[in-house]
Amino acid sequence: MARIRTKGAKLQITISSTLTDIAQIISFTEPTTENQVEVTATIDDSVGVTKSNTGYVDTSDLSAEIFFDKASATHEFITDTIQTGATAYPIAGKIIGSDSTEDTFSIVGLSISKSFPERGFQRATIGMKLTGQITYAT
Amino acid sequence: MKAQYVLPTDRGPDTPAEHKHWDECRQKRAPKPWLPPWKPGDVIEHPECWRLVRFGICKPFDEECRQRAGMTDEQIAEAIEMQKAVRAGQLTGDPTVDAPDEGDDDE
Repeated sequence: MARIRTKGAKLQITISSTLTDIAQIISFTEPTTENQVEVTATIDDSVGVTKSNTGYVDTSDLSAEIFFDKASATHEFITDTIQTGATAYPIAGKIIGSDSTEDTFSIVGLSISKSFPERGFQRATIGMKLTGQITYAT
Repeated sequence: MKAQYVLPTDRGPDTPAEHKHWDECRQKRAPKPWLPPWKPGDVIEHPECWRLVRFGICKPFDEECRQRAGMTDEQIAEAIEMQKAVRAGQLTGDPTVDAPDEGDDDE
């Protein structure tokens, strides 16, 4: 079984026509991709809840944790983009694994929140709302 | 506003037509690259290209970009070195979060 280490993985987003590494990433979690299903049971059905596949594929948000640095270009870009509003989107992004495989996606919304862990350094969590499907390397 | 690439960098979509092409390429899992990458020496004209100077990917190519980036030559050189560290996954200097040196196996 292959084991692919996480160190060396990168998150890139497009800034000025350029896929740019997001600096100071501590960790990130790829979005969950799932078939969207709907409960189709009615009140007079028997106890088993029935569901049907709607035909859509739903992709959740992507989140990344970075060391917070108010002077960093990454932080500046994220906050500027959020405050620009809808015209700043879509933004293309890519996750490059340490084995050089690439998963690609399009972002239609960003968020950022600072955190103060009990020990260590100030951090920020960047949230990315995606549109459509993430395209996996395999 | 213009900036000149110092480091080779993949291209990302910018215009609606490029976004359409990007989506088509990735949905088909078309072979890379979807557009030619930026090479050192290439010049980009873009209203946000001053950010690439802050990221250490480009240097200013005109006075407008230099002023918007607001960096001295020393700061630009520092940003380029920092970008190299980012790309190597070794920005923090902390071995628990940084990528290992090439050839190292830290498992």
